Amino acid sequence: MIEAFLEGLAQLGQPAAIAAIVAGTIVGVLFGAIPGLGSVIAMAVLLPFTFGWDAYIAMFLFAGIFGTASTGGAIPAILLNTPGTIANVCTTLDGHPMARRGEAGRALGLAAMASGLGTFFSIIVLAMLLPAAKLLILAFGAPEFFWLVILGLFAVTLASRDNLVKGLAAGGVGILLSLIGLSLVFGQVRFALDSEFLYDGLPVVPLVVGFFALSELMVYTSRGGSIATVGEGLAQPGIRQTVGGAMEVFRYKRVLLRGSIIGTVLGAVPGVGGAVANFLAYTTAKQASKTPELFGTGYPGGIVASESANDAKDGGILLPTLTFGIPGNVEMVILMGAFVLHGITPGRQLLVHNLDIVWAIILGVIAAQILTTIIVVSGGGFLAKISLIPVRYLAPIVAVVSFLGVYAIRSNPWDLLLAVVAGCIGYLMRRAGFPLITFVIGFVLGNTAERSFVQSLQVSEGSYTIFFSSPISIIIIITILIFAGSPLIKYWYERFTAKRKAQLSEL
Amino acid sequence: MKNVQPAVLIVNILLLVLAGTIVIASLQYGFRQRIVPLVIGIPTLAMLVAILLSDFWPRLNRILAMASLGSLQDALNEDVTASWSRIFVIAGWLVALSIALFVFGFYVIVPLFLFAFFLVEAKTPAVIALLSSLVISTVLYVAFPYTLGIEIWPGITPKVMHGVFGGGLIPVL
Repeated sequence: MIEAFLEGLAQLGQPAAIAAIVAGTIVGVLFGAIPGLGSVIAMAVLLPFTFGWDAYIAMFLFAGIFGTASTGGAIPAILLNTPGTIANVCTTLDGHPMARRGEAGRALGLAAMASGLGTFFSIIVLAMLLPAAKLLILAFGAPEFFWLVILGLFAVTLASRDNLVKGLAAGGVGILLSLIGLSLVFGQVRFALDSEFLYDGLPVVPLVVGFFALSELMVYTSRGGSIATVGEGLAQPGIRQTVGGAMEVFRYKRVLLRGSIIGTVLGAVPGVGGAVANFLAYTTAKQASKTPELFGTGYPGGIVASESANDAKDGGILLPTLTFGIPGNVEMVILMGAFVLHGITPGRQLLVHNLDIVWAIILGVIAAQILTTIIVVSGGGFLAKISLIPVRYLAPIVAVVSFLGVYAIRSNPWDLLLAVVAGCIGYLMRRAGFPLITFVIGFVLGNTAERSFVQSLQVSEGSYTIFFSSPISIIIIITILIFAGSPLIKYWYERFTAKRKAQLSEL
Repeated sequence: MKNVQPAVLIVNILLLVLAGTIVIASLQYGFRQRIVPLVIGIPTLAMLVAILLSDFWPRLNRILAMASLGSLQDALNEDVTASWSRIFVIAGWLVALSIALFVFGFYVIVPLFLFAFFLVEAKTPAVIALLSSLVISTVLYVAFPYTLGIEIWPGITPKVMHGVFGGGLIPVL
């Protein structure tokens, strides 16, 4: 183990390795910062170019990309209210209100430092857990996966500060739409209306870009002005503000630790990933806070919770990939493709024969995250100034880049029209008080929910008791019930205290 | 009835139609293929119907508002309520852009769109709008097709310049 670690460290010191990490970090931050692109496209585009490279160098490049994209995604989430990646959605809830108050630099500093510390936490846990990883992964069977998805939906709904019924209804529609197309569980095409376009289901990127980027564009451009309203006596974003924001993270140690733990644990569960970790960490931080009403209004703790969790998932998500060859998300699928391209056998053999590569990836993620934190903290003031540019100049550029990103994924021009339709529906949903977040998370996790549900029934030969038979399922169900009941408990508590106050005032 | 907002009504009906269509269509499949659409779809439909009725029935609206950590009014007051005329104008730009990209491709439409938007919406002088659109388009083309090797859609018009303007094959819908 020590020898492999030292070998990885020695490789990291090579000039080519440093260049690969710097390039991967810059690409990761940039692609993460452009809504609709993200690390999947960056890794997929660069994968063929690495053929013939030294395996270490290629791994450093990919570590740089997937380890930093969600930090890059915080930049548009804060400045434009448009999450760069799906895992940055909750960052918009507090980051953007801060940007609008003229505190964009502070928010970027908070996001960068929380991301960096979240990554370090998860990487340390990964290094410690590598030997015992098997038990953790095997503890989650199909029923636990199903409940985890449902928990994710409840968490998302509560995180969005919107009406629970509307949130769940939107999430339900999202799940239903995700069932369109070829089901890998049944090998059958459903609800596709004999359309080739719908054969593989509705594509997620045009929907996400439409819902978040284009609907936001409609709001801002119709309103005019600039994103930040610094003319109201608030501080101009600058390097001092950004560094101050970075240091402020240490005032939210509990939130940071909780977010990092949630991100690491959920990251290790394949298929769940950064989005659910992000939502769950945010909701938990809100529930545990003495001032939950501040969440969603530009509260620093909200950014710390969101960003620490979505970056801590990087360490967790490497766990099943590196130990069992089970890719936790699309980035990990591409990483495994890179293993194969470079003659490395993924799975348990990796730990036996290529432990140095495992350490190279781990060290690469750490190095890239340090670099990213420096880039965002030092360049945050500059990046924050984007929010002062009048929207009428930014809007057409964001629109064009969004459409380029939408087209780049599948090279299907129909996706352009789907994105704009999603943008219009997204705007109407926001105007009607339906949270877009729950819709999209339902859509993203719908297939996982169905697969887990059906697999559970297959295992139990049709008995529904399987969903309530394991301790992990019971814990998740109790958590769901607490989440579901919390608005009613809050309502009754407020009613009780109001009555009591009235009685006291009568006396 | 007085408080019914058009956006709420339109979205409610749209979501009801989407969810209802999938639930009804699922009945043609076998038990296992329809179980999740039904398990998720029926409660979803019930919630959507309740939301729809709550616009006409204030008591139900109050009950639904209880199920929130914020309030129903908070959700409705999200700062997205620009005037409908401005929203239609901006949506029009986006719809026009997507259709123009589909027909004429990125190479031709991106500089034209940027120029038109800067000129009309940003009220930028024509020369600056032209220069800005050309510079931004060049940066995008250098970044996407040349540096990253991402193929760019040339449009469906008859081929004028190979891979740049026209001649794109439309995938079957």
